[in-house]
Amino acid sequence: MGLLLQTLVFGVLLGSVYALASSGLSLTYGVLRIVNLVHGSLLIAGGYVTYTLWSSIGLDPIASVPLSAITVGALGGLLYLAFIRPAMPGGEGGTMMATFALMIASQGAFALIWGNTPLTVAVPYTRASFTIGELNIPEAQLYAAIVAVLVLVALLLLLLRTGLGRAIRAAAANPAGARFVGIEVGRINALTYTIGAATAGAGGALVSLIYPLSPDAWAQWLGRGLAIVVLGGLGSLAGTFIAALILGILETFITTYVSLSWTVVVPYLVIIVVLMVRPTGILGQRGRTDVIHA
Amino acid sequence: MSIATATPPTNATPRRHWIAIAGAALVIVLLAIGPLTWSDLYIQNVLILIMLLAIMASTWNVMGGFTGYISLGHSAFLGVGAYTTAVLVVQLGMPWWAGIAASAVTSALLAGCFALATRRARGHAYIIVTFAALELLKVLAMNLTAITNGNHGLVMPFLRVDPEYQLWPYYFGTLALLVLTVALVIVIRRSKFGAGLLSIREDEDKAASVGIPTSRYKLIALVLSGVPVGLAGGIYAYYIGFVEPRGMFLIAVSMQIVLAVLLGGRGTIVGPLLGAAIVEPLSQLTNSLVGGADGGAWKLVIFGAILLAVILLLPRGIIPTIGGLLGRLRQRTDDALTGRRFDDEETLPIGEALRRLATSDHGRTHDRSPDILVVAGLSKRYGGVTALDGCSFAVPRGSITALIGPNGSGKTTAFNVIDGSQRADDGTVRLNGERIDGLSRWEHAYRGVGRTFQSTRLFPALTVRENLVAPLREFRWSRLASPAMSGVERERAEAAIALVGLTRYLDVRAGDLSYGQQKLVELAQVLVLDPDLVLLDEPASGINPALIDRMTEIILALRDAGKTVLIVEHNMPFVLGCADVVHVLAAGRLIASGSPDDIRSNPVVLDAYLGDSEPVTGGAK
Repeated sequence: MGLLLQTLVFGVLLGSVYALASSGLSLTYGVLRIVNLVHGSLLIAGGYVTYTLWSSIGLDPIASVPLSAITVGALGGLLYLAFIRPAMPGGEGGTMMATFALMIASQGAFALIWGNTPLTVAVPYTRASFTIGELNIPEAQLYAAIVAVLVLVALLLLLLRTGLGRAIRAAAANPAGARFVGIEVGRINALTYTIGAATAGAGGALVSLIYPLSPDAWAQWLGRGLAIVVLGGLGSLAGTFIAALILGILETFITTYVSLSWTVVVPYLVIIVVLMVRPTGILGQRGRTDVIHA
Repeated sequence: MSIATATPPTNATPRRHWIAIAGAALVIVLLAIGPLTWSDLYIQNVLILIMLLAIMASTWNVMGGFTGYISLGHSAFLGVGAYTTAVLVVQLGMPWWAGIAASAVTSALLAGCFALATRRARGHAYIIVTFAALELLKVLAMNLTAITNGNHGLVMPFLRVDPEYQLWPYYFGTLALLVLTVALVIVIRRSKFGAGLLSIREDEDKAASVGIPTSRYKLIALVLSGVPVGLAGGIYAYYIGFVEPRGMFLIAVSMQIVLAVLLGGRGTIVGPLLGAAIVEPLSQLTNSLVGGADGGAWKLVIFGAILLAVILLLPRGIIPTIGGLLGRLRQRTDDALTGRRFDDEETLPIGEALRRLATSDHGRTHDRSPDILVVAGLSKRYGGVTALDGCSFAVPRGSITALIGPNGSGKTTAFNVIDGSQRADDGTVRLNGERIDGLSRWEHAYRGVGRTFQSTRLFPALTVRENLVAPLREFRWSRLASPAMSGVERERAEAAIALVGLTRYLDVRAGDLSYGQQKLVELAQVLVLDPDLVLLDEPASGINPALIDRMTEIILALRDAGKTVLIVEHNMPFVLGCADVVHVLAAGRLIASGSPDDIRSNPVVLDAYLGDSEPVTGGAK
């Protein structure tokens, strides 16, 4: 019983970070209809920025969340304007291939800048934990989860309470209609992509507290993000949060009761099973489209 | 990245045809005698790698270029092939040929799994599935240590080859496989099967409605594109001598495949080969320029950048771009296709055209009961909306029957259930006395149901002629490899287009026609199926009055030729002018039937259209 509860707590903490890590992927899909394959790489970029800030000036990863978000958000916005938007005339396939190219190139860039050896951020509380009765709550994971939830609340407020958020939701629901009522969909798309990248940056800062960073770690994070977004229903933010918790709990259960080496298969299995059995996910309307003209 | 549709092979002039064959023969001969004349192992190595990539790119193109399913997991076939051979040879001590033969089997199985995924996952969902499958296989290779030896990998036994023979076993093995693969791709592209793949790329649901068994086609295409790569994987395992998870299930290899195809030209035969011949040497060049620890990293950066450049600057790829430039030079002298909308002189008498389109070789039943179609108790709900609510009606054989009713009364849903594109929650559909509900879309076409769509759905990037030869009246394995445009097919296409009077548009892209013309071409396309029951979904909407008259004329002629026509239509003068029987639907059920005159004077019908007593169940249209 103690182990079960412990696993559940780990799972929820992890799931909260996963929710932030994948929210941008869901947002970008919902508004731009782009499956942003470079999302995992943006997250890793956030982790590396955080690592550099920590190793050079000793900045705590929690404190570098806003810095990482801004840096990666700006980077994402530039990538969008320079490479992704110009690929849009090629349709869904064109933009997806452009993000694929960026994802491959970024792995090389990470290796050139930060090397191939896995890097870890070691803050004083990395190995510390609170104990409540038999329950063990690792400090790093707890802080990461709290900050993730705070950032997500901020994101939701932005989407639900501001004019920009309303414009984003309008563009997501019906781009042509949004254009008719005077929303500059092109600008909204760029802003949405930037916000999505910024959440990846914030997520990356938190991830650097929990996981080691390596140039090819994007694959694992892209896999998680896609699994969450697919399970939650492509483009549904609420579905994304639920799915992130499910995936976090699923992964910790496999780690506890099977083995760590099999945890990595969870996201990929989730993707394959969901897309083959229930492509609409939990809350999405349509997880599939007709053949794309790439 | 617009898809370049290669000109139909049969359109190529004989001279160009011979040049292509001579060129191919020259390349094969050069590749075959090359290693016999120079003994440079480095060049042999690069050529082997080029040929491996060419095999992967050509086969990727069958799904990605012809069928429209982009894969990021094509290198998984290489990994599965290599691992199968390695496990059988190293772990079980089997001979090399058994290992490579088994690679064909396992790669076919993997293709089957991908085909299963395409039942639900299209477009970007398929891209995601293929990425996940590749990563999953990598993890499996790492974790199933008892079989694969995990991260330590498997060391292949050294093939004892006389040093005098250099890399010949690998070289000629790969060359033979490449020649066979390219020959296979050419056969696919020119066959009836290949034409079916193109129509799946253009509009998969529509393809199914004109008789193309889409899931079977995708399975065949995947197996044909996976097995050559699986075999190549077997050779590759021996060639590099060491099989380990990270090297075998590499997404970077998938990227090189995608890059080679996009660079050379998607959907073409030569494009992927040319792309491979550019990408692989570039890869080797990068290796030699920036070797060492950073070499791999630079390679990723450079290749990512090249892929981006191709997507942004050369979206169609080299071959189609050159083809487009040449085509523009050649086309200067052609007349523009403007002017009259259709040619009266060229119009074949409709009865004569239909006689030419009639075939006797389909095994349809010869039931002669008075009602060709009987629909009983159909119900269909979408969430809370009830589109059909116990709807029953019959369509008399040889009649023109109209289905009318206010918006949201369930007419189009009834059509979708009848032609098999949707399943009803309840109720039955009988054609010629046989139940057809539950059959696949294409089975409906084989049994004689043809259908046009409310907003036309032709295959836009294909020419009118290609659109007209696409329909299949039955599925036969033996016909898969037959040419896409045999003499008979051509004649049928010409008869069908003459029937609607658009003969001069045969070689125009369907997407370039006006809306009304597309409606007529779609009708011609459906008639190529030689259907007994023709379903027309709003044939008169959105087209000009001249075309409406033409449409009426064709519909009447269809009836006179013995066909049964079922029409959904809002244009009352049109529909009441040509129908024999009218069924009126409201709120998902039949409220009245009779002759047009009965319906005009029926108070219940007037009430349904104008009154407010009948609640409108809303947007199920």
